[in-house]
Amino acid sequence: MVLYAKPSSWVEAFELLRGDSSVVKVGGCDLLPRYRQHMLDTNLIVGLNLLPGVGDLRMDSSMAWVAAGVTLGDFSEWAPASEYWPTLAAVAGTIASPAIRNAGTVVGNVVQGWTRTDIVPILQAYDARLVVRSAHGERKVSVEEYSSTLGTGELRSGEIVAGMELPIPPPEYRVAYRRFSLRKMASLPVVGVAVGVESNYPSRHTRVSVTGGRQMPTRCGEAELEIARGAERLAEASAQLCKWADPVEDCHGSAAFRRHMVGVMFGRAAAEVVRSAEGVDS
Amino acid sequence: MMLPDGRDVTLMVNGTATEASVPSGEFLLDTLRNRLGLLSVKEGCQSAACGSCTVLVDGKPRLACITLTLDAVGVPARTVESLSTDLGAAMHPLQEAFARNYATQCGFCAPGMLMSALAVIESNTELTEASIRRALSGNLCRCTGYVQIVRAIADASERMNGCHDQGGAEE
Repeated sequence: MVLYAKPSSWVEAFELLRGDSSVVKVGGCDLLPRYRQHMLDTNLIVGLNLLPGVGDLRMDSSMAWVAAGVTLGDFSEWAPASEYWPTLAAVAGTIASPAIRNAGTVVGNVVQGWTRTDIVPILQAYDARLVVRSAHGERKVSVEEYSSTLGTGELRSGEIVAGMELPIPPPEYRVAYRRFSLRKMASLPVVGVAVGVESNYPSRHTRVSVTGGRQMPTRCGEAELEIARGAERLAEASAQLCKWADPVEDCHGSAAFRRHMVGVMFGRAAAEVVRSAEGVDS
Repeated sequence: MMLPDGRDVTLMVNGTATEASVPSGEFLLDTLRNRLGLLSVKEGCQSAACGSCTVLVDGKPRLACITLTLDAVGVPARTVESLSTDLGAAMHPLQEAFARNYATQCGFCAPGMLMSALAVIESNTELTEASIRRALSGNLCRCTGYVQIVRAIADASERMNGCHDQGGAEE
């Protein structure tokens, strides 16, 4: 029998998580289907939804704080999200389905450590950081570092991800994201590419992050260097990216197909972001 | 730390406060069907993929198969039974529109479709074919091909809110 506990304080939550087989639940979109299908090896689910501050979504002068309980729907409808992180807001408001967006959280999309995800490459392009809390204090982990490990392997025993810091990007920084999936936005991406550049070339701040290009969502430094040299280097950046890609092969696509689609999605995202940075679309 | 394996809770379902004793790890789907007798809520995929179990929690679509009952305590929940199930009474305009537009075949997906549709109609946003299809993106139907369902929701929206834009086909 599985018990469900809803602690009302962080101290109580850490106490409950001292057990070996307890698991944390916030949105539950990944955890609860496994529980429903009797595939969850635990006897205690610790729901964090009543913890103080778990639904906080606020700004200061340099960043936004997105607490662990902020759903994709909440974030997409938050006015500053569209102003400062428009690509993230747009994707958070269209992926999956309304019911999933009303339950699934922005932070949960990172914490679950999936191999394929729309949110993680975009957060990598925006240099987001997770704040991990334990009974002994807090530490920060970049989304890039966290998502290099499958599942929750980056978390130590007794740790909870309390939320995420989302830095306000430079005014001239633009991010575009393109993805390919088998069921439009309702299914996970087979391949997705986020591209971020500044409008001033040579650009000091460039990001190319890919899901489906390697086992885990990750950045491609070689492609970033090419883009930083100028918009005319997109073909070289695409070639570097396809060379860098080392995709898995499964029922959703062969490795060769995925490598090809990495190039296609990169081309579309890069073209959009360069047009946007040059002011063509604004 | 002692944890109770069952709790007496008060659920606000379809406008009525209902007492129920539920195991702490029980899903809302099972509570609604097995304890409250609300059989409109269907279990399809068990994996949050088909939308058959869609109910409204606090006015928003939620999947009852992945919602724990204790997370719905104190929050208003709605199922199709809140529309109209009395065959002798007038149906809800949304139900009438589904019947008028032949929007059901086997009917298994219909309760979930109706609740997703109700949420988007009650959101008071101007509906287009594209926005209706986006609202239904988590609801699978293996019979109708969706055309009649989308048509029925546009029809209901027009009658309930007086607004439906014919344009805006799916991207």
